Amino acid sequence: MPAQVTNYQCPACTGPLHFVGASGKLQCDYCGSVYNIADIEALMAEKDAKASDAFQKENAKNKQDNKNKNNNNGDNWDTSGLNQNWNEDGLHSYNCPSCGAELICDASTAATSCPYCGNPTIVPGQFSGTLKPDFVIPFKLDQKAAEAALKKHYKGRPFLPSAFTSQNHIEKIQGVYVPFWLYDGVADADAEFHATRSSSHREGDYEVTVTRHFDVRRAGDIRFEKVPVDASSKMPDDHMDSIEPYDYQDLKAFSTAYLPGYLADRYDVSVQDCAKRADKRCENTALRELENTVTGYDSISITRSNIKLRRGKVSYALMPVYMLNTKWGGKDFLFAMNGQTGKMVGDLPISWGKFWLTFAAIAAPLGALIYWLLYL
Amino acid sequence: MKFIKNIKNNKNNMPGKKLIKLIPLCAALYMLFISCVFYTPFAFALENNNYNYIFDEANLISDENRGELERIAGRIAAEYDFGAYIIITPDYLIYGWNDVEDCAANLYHERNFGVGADRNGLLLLLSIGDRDYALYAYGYGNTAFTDSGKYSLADNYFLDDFRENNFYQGFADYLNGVENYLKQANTGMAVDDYQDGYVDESGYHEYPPQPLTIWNILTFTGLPCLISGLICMGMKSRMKTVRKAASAGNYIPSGGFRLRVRDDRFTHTTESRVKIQKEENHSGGHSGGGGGGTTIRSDGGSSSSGKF
Repeated sequence: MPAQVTNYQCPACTGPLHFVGASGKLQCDYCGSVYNIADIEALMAEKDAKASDAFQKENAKNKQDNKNKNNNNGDNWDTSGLNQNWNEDGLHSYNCPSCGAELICDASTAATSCPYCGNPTIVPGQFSGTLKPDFVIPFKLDQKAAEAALKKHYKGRPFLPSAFTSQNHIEKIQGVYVPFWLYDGVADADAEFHATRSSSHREGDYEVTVTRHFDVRRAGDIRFEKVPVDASSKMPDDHMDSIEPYDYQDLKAFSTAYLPGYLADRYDVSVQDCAKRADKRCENTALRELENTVTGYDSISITRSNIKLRRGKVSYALMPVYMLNTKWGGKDFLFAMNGQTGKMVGDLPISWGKFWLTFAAIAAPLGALIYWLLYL
Repeated sequence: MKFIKNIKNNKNNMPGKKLIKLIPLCAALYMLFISCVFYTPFAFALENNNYNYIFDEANLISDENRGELERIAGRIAAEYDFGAYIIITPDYLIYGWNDVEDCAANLYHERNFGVGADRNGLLLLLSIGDRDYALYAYGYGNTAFTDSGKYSLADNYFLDDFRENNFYQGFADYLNGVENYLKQANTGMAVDDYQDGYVDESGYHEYPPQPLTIWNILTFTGLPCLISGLICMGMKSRMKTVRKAASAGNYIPSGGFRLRVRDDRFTHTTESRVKIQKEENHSGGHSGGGGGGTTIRSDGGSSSSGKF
């Protein structure tokens, strides 16, 4: 039976290949040979197809087994309690194509590396048929860039505990291709505002303010293209939102050849579930765009708004993200970096000692200065 | 004809010459009379022409008191080469000025006040109608009566009397204060900060320290804590960089926004009026500069004003 997983092997030495973001090419870990994506795709197409077929067949078999177990009529031993089938826990088991070791992965894992031999491994079946992404933005930055970005992220944070930077070590840096839905659509927005324009002049001992009131209406169409919403339940939404935006000029047609060397997941949150987040963002933006056209007034307030969203095409894409996590003071700190632009985000711990010291360092001399100005 | 002949015959006669000389004088007196009838301020000025320093155009003080004040002002002028003037008016607006300080400055120059070549002097203009006062200093007055010095003169010498309608005492105290301030200025140190001290007959005295009240304590503890807290919270917010996205502005393509309706309609106008409060300090109503030197106006003088 063909394996459900595959790895990209060097045509020269059969060593494992991994994708190098800086060059945008695949490189052999052993002999250092470099290959274009298109060349390797052509060579590996047949191998990918076989692995994908095997994945589909195994999935179908698992479903049938589950059905048989549920229909147990007493002729067979009931082994359901032994939990031998990884599928029931949402897990899959594969055999490493390099060393044969058993790989236990999440049901949504599409690319990983073997914990025994370390070779990059792909599960092409996760990206076949309707699950196939339309686009991928390949990694441009490597792990060293992620480490450097994290150090830079620590700088200029006055309340960061000194021990956090000196004692803390990043436990793990992992490049992950995160599944995103990219929504196209048009917001048909109509809003009314109350606006005022004021002028003041002096009449004798009085300051006279004359305010002119206006009813303002604006309506228009705002087109949105590829609003991203992460489609993986494993990834924290706020981290994924914060590392935006991606440069869509680097969007490429999906190929598994970009995956070796990184983790990858297929989506596990549906288009409909993610659409709510995209809708909210588009509505907010449409209203703000209309408001920005109300100019020449001293004050503006919205009195009525009506926004209809005309939904368009949804694309499925994998985006490059470095996830870095560390523990400090018994708490987990998670950082995320855009693997294309290098934008790093992650909340940092606060040294309350430094906070109150700074507070006192500002308040005490300020208080003394005010006392001196007023009373001495 | 006989009369004409008499004139011709007596053209070198003394009584005839006297009669001709009286004609322009009569014309001048007639013009003066007309002016007095139709121009009231001028009438006041005429009425005051026996006085050099005190001009009571509101008939506020008795002739006896006025004479006494005139005597004190004359002594100050002789002793210090400095004119201490008082103009009392029913309402300063009759002079055609909207600002009491501008009015005082104009009267000072219009009436050619001041002693010596530098026209040293200080004018106290008291407007009874709206209970306004203004001090206008010129020449050496700019040195002896700084911005804060003018306020301290008002606060420490005459405002309390005026508030109790004890006008004569207020004017007497004003002249007394002018003399004390001139004495102090002649030592080389004019009274510059009325919050720090005051001047009386015995010289310059610093104010005793203000007692600490709960508001004082809140001012120099609460306010710094509030400012420091705001700064620290701003710095703390920099520790948090993870937030859910609320907008999709990055994903509007070029030309992706098309405005269909742009309608601005004027509905109505509202008007609000707020009475302009003149700047006040802790002890009286004033407007003008604070402590530290003298602010010179474009006309070369300096001024302050307030209510009593």
